[in-house]
Amino acid sequence: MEIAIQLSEVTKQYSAKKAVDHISFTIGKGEIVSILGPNGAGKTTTISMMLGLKKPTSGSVQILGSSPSDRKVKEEIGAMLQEVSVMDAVKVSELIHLFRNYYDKSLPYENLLTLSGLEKDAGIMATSLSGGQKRRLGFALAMAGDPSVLFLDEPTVGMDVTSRTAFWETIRSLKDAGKTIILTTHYLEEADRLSDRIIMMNHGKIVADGTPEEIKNRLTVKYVSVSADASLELGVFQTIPGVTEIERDGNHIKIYGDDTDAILIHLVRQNLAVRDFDIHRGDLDEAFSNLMKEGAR
Amino acid sequence: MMRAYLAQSKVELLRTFRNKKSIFFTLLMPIIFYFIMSQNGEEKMGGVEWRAYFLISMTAYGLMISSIFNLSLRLVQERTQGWSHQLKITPLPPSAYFAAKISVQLLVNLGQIVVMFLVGHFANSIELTTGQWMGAGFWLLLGSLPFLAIGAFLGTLNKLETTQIVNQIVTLGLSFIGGIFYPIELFPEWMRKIGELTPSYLMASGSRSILGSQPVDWGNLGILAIYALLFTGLASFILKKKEVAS
Repeated sequence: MEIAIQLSEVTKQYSAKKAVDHISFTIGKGEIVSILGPNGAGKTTTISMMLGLKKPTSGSVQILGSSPSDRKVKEEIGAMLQEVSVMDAVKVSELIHLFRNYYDKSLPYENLLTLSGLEKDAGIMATSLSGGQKRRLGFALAMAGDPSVLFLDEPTVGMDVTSRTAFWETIRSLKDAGKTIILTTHYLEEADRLSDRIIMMNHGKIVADGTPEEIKNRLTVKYVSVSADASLELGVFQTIPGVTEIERDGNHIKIYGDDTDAILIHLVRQNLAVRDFDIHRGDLDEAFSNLMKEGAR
Repeated sequence: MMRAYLAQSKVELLRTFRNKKSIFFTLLMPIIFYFIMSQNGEEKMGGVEWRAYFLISMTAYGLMISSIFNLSLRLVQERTQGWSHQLKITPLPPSAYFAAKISVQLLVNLGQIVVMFLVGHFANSIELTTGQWMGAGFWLLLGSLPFLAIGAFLGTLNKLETTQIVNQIVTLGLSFIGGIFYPIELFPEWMRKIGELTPSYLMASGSRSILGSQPVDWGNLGILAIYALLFTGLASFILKKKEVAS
């Protein structure tokens, strides 16, 4: 695997607190990675250091084998930052043209305008766009240099449902085109569907790193729930292989285990007097909130 | 890099012309002041006809305002609204970004000088040789450099509102002390001594000497250069410090 980004032992210390605390990870070319975590976890600081906007207090950050402040690197990266307004007194079309001129190689103007979805608004002042439209313009500007590494910090904030869907569709096609994408978002379901890998951060540290499946397996519980009459003995479930725990609440029974399919098949084959089968598999939201509970303990 | 610089300059120029407020304060207001105050224009002040003397004053005033306000407000705005972060991750070198801002403002300053001189010549029948016009204009243009530096320096402030107020104080203060609104020849001796050291006075007085065919004190260009270097140095020092702190 070719390395796109490498962080080793990176720490960012502000006067009172450590925003990022000794983190290390490597991102391969073509990977799409979501960095998730609660507000103040250190996600944006981490991205800022990857972009060379902030200098680590200690540790090193390398993008495509060089320092993020290297001009060669800047030709190859693009970013949608948080809390960036647009330049005043400039039209949408003028801004896109301006950014194209910053790069040695750039995407054609028409392509960028299509990426922004602002074809009808190319002639209006960028400051009079809505919040979501400004984000989409920001996306076009991030893409101006046809970057191979793309950073998206909360890209869909302010976008309506339609443009959010269209946006993720575009990201998917960029992924298929082999771009490396680093993403933070509050929409965990979208991160789950899109990412090859998820890095979860809390209090400046990495608390989980793996594929969405691995994260969910590690941080969520799976169970088959059934209803049964009170007369049914719980002992009949204990013989099922892979069952880790059984919980009863009135008529309601939860049978915990990693392989929920096997449990379900077993229940059916044994012809037990149970009904209302339901499989629960945790999603990323649950993994996330479990992780936060862990952190709070 | 040249392409990036030119593209940046083009956008900066467009933005300046779209800023109606700036055009009013830097061009229309000095012209209005000029017409109100240049009655009895044949009288002499410091050996120069008053209508020519005050034309230089008002041109200098407009240059001061446009250099300081345009540059500082835009720099503060672009930094506080995160725009400078967006630029920092592009390959555009910071030097090209500043060079574009400075050269466009110099071009705007040149335009202001030309307009003011045309007004003086055609509306108030000031008659000078081409050499005098060129010399006076060129001195003013050079004299606006320290104000660009002051603009860059005030552009390191953290809040747009503060910058507005500080700009007002600085431009008004330098205008009064430098004899822009009220001729320095009529100041008490001690005030005159102070006033003669201000960049506003130095920018206007050299230009007036050229108009009045009087000996030019070339050393004043040196003092103007010191002001320009001082504030440029301060501005880049503060920006570097801010960067380390982030």
